[in-house]
Amino acid sequence: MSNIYDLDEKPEAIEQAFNKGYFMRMLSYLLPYRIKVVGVGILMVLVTLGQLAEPLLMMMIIDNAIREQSTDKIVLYIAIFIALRALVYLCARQQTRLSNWTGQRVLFDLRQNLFEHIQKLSFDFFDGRPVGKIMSRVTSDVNAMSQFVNMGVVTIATQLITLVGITVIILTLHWRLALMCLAVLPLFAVFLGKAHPFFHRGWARVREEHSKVNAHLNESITGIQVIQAFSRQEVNSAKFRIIMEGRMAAYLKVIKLEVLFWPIIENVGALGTCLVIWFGAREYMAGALTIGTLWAFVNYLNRLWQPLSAISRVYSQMLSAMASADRVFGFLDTPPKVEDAAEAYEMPPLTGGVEFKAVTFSYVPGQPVLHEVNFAVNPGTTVALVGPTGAGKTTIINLLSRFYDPDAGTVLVDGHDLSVVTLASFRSQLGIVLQDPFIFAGTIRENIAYGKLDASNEEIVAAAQAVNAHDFIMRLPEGYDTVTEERGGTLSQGQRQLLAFARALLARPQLLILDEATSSIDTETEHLIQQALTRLMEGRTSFIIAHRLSTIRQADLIMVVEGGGIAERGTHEELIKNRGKYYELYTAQYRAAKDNLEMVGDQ
Amino acid sequence: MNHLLRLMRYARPYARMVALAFVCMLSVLVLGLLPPLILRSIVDRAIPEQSLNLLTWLVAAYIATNMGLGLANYGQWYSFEVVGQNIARDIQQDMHDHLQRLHLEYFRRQKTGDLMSRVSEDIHSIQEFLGWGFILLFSNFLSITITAGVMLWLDWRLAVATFLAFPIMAVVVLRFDKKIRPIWHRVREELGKLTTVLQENISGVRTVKAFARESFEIGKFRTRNTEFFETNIERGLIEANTQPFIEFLSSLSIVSLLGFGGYMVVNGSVSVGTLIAFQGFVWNMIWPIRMLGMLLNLLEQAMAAAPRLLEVLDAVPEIADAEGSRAAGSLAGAIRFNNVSFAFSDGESEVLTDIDFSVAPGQILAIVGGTGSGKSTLVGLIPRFFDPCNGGVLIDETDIRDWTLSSLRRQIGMVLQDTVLFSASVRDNIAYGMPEATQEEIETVARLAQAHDFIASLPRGYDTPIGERGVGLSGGQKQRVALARALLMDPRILILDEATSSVDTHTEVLIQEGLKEIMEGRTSVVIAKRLSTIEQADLVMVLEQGRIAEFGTPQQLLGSEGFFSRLHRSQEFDAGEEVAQLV
Repeated sequence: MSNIYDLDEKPEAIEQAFNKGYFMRMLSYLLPYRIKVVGVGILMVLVTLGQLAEPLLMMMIIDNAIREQSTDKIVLYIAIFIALRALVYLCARQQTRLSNWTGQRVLFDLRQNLFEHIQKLSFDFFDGRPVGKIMSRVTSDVNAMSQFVNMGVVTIATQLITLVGITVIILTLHWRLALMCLAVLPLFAVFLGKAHPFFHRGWARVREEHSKVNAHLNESITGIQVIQAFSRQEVNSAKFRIIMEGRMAAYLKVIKLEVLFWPIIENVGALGTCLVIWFGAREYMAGALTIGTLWAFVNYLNRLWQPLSAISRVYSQMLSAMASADRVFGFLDTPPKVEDAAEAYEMPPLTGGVEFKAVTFSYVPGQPVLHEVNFAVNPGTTVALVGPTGAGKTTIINLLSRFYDPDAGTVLVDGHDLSVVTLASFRSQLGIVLQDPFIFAGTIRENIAYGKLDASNEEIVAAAQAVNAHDFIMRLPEGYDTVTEERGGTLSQGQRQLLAFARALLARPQLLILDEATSSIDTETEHLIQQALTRLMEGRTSFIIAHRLSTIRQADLIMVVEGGGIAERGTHEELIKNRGKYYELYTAQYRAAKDNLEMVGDQ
Repeated sequence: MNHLLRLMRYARPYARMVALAFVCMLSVLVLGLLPPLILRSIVDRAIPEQSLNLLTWLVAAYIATNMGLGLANYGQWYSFEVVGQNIARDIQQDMHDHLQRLHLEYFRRQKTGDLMSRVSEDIHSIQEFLGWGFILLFSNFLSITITAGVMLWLDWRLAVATFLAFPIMAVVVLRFDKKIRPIWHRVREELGKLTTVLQENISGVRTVKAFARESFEIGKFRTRNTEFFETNIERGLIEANTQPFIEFLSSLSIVSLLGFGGYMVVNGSVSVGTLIAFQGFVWNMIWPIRMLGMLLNLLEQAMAAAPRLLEVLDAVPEIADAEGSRAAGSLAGAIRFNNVSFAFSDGESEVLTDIDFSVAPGQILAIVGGTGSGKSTLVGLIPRFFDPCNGGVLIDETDIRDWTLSSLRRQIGMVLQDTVLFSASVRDNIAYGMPEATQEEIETVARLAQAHDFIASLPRGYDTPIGERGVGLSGGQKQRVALARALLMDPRILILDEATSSVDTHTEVLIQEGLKEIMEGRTSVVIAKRLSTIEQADLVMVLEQGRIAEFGTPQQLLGSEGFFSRLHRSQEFDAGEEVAQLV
């Protein structure tokens, strides 16, 4: 089912095949730190070589020192051993520090890059995507990529060196025995490689089922009143039971595989060791092999499995990193639709004259919302936009704020075509108050100052007073320093509106854009808001999507937006006399408002 | 610890699997001792004696031991996983079922987020511990002891020399764990802060762009990003300082083994085979020690989680079917409140005081009052979401506590301000109370609720999924679906909380007209927000701070000098002929 509200329609891929382009691009993030990366490489080689040398040392202790009964030699070899180990320790420590640092840097850079790019993107990008999806690009996808590029690459390199090193060493020690062990290896690799997708898919299923369980639990808790009102407990429990069965089944399926798989691998490994022991012992009995060598061999064999499983793990890491890279680079490669033109110039200080010339626009191609809209408004005019839902009022405001560019026609402010002035210079002279004012986590002061970051305290308080917000702010526990929660949780809707007004006022805009809230606000604040609005609109050009009768009636110009254009325009009195669309709208609204207890006012 | 033990009773149904797992575990431990010993025999006996026969037998024994180990391992892991999963599932099901029956007030006190974390994350901690943490802890401990025992028995001097480094290692491991956990906590916190900034930025993108604050936001993000980076570097440093060191310490035991062992072999007190066997044993001991920190962490988390789970399971549902309650027959719908008082148990002042009134079957009662007057609470007493502290609520002259909850509630339909719909198709949502309803029945109520038209226009009609993963409905549409849902039960009593917000005028008119038809033949209690509703009601109640300020027919109230008549007069908020012209 297609849904305009989900542009990335296909279900998210968990893994994707290796893509050289993505890989090189991910590696390029390591480039700024190449010196450190080289350092990591060198240290890594040292550590691996040190670890590889150990069984050889042990072999020499047994074959040389012990056989020759030389305690001096034992002491010597032990000293070498300890020195080697200390070296490995120091190198490993430094290597961990460095690779952790580079890994975190890559993570930081990728994240910062992505975030900054997203800031440049226009509304059409955000309109089609749920917030959660965008967020997971910046959090988990970037994480998967940096983990792979850092740890993944390091691991592959280390393990490859180990594999090659061990192969070389055992071939040197006794090539016939070595060949016997190595023959098993390719079989192993194939086995591991084939098994991995099963595990991967299995765990992905488990995660799916798990989120179903959580979703059900969430609904059962948040919807408890409905559940009890309809006595749905039994049915719900049965439904939950089924969901749980699903999860259990998925989990057991994967676990059975895992729990079977690893012991089999170990058994095959042990088989290999046994072969070596058997043949090796025979060789020894024939005088062609020493005990020490045999022991070293067994030790090396035991070390062969680790690289294999590590590499297969990195392989799955790579698959998810590729899928993530696909999404992340997809974002990074999206060009912003609305941006500064090449020769964009700064918008001079506004006086506030607005003109739409033959403006046509559609969100979805082929479904125009506005068609050849024309109007001109003088500075200082208050314009009220009214009309049925979806008619295009919000679109006019979006175009005016240059959140979107028109498909055809021009939007001019003070005679300047908006598409050729810089966005920053224009928007900083706008004041915009949206329907659901966004209050972010911080303090009241910070929220108001969003309109003008370097505003002084006096300016902030003055703005708050002008919009009747000062009183309720002072009644809060810490006044202007009161901490606001995410989305302004503890404040009432009316209070949030007032804060948004203060914020807009602080910017001293010459052009004000306002989308009035439709929902009933608590009656105490309603009156304050009406006053604040009047004050806000003084002396500036305002475009208001109006719902309040008082707002509409006070406007200098009312435009009825319907059918893709401006159906009627004029003052309130003119339009009432007309007995046209406006008249119908107004009377219906009037009746509804009259009926609405909350609008009328409490005792 | 007691809490954790209490939860162990969930293991009882799986006692046989648990026993099997333990048997397997012991087999693994015992069998695990054999390979080093076999190697020892090969080196000390088969090879010097040049006995191919003995060698072959020993190697065969090695293979057999390994297969046995594999089998026992499989048995051990699988059974403990199964037990762990089953226990977690049982606890989760119990918690779910129990929660559904708890009184509504419980959910007022608890935050959803907290409940969710109890029901998912805390259970996960328990499952991890009971599934494999517990067994690993146990078997590691046994492994260390048994292996040490065998080593001491083989040659106590060599054994002691090998053990030298272990205590230090254990200490380092434990200290590392103590140091690293607060850092991980901080890393999670920093990630949380980063996510918050990110989420605010994306949800508030309109505001950001409106004020052209992109560079400011970038700076904000950079700060958080940097903090996250620095905390992770700190964590990396701790890990870099400790992990390689632990590796170094474990190799020290190999060093002592080789050093002392080599010396002892030279002076003949120990055989080479024993030396080789000891190397194998040392691995049996090092791994458990290194896992110690992680396992203790699991135990701690489980101990923290257990009381949180038990709190929910132990909560007593305060609203439940009383002893000897019987099913309510078909109700007529006469409602009477007999001197009802109510207060929430978190010690606030009384929400309702001396509420006393009655409504005859089929009448419409409109309740009016400001915020905090107690309207929602009063209305919630009828389906027994709350029980009165004093007095009683009677329907058809019977105290509703005498009836079973489900028989009572199935005859009451509620549509509240905060519409809750579930992630399912429109049909399933409407048929929520009666999953067996036919399509016809569903469409009938949908039409009554003025919802049929917009539902039919959805991409898949009644089968369209709504909710989290489906199409988003507007506030007004949700309300109408909820209304249809309530009507499907054909309730005798209808409780409505009128919404004025988020519905456009056109729909409002439709709903208003539909309501008349809907309320026919039912007793309706409406929290009224429209004057027209009040004017059409049979009875009007004005609530002021939990008390009935006025009660009577609309005409009666208009006559008196109360809130209602004042309200009616203040209708004329616009002076002038214009009003007269329009109305």
